Amino acid sequence: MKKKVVYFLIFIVIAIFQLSFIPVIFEKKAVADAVLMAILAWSILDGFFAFLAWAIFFGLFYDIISYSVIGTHALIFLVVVYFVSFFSRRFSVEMKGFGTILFLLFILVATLASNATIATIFVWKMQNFHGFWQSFGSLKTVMIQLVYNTFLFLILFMLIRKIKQFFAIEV
Amino acid sequence: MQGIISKKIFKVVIIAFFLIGLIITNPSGFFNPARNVFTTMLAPFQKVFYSFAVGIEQTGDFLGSIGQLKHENEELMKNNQQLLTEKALLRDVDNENAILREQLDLLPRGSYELTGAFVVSQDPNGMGNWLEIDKGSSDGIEKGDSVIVSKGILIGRVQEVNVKTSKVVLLTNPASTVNVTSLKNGTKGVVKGEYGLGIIFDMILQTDAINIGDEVITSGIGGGIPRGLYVGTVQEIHPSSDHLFQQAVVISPVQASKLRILFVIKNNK
Repeated sequence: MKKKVVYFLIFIVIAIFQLSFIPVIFEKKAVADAVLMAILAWSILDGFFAFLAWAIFFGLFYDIISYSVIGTHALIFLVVVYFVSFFSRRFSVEMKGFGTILFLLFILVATLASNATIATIFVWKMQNFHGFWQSFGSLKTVMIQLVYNTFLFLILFMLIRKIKQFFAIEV
Repeated sequence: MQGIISKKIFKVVIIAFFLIGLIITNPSGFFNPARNVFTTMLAPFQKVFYSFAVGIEQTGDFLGSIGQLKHENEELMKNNQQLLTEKALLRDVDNENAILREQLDLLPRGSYELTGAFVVSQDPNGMGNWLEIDKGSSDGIEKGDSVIVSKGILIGRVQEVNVKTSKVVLLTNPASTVNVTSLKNGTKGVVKGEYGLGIIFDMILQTDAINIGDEVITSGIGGGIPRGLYVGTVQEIHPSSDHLFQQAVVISPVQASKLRILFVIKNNK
């Protein structure tokens, strides 16, 4: 029960931060994604089986409060959780040495998968596939987004780990 | 068989199919009660976060623009003098207009029933497609209501209404189309969004005149949006991709992503 309450409260704060703070502060188009980075951090800390249900639940909840097409973020988070677990089983995921490169790879894949999914669903809804790259973002925009996301990931990874330790939440 | 079902990839594929099904069918109506509950609960917290973010953003802008303020002040002094002259001329035209309206039995323009609203969140994907406001059906907001700032600058329309919050689709959203006319020549067309990048004045006939600097207002055609709301100024003109029409890039005087307060025009359908 404690885990459920703590996880839900953390997610609500991050979701509000993403919806009501980040888009105002960050440069237009190149907006960091705190929610995505939190899901990535959780996936690494908790693992596939412990976090899969949470990822789907958070995805659907975020779709509801962010006026997204229902299922969009749940699908993105599913891809992220699976991708992380695929590499976690084969390599040691730690914030040192080769592990650092894996972390950067996770951030890159999560960001690209998120942009591509959102852009695809958006142009499909609009029935105008010429707008895909405008929705996805230019190379410059994506690069800036990756830098922002890396910083956010590091902060959220450490924050979630500390909170889990503080409340003695096991996987 | 048991082995396959317990496999990670099997679970992922099943869930992915379910989620893709949800995306395709898009049962947003089914989730509306949940959205009503969550947005009502979160709106007060979102308002605090949003105001805090706007405060930080404005402080940053102010510190970065101190050097420009002197120059801008001089420009504003010149503009002020010019506007005083125009105001005197317009007062005369206004009197004439009032007499003509009385004779034609027309209602005065710009007399809208407005509801002020705070912005609580916006499009998190950086496309500048929508804003969420803290007024909903309990405040008399309806789907399709026009949303303005500063007494008549149109920024969008209400697309979804919850009990305590509403989603406003901005003019920069490609899903948004509004009938407009140029103030100078009466050239008609529609403005639509360009994926958060700006606004395009489209469907302008090749024979119609449109110039850089022309002001664009709503035409009122279709009845959804009142006539005479300011949309922006033409910055660039080019032919459409099929060369059948002209297109113009329109610059709005307001940056919707930095707005904190806006107004909804009620009962103007």
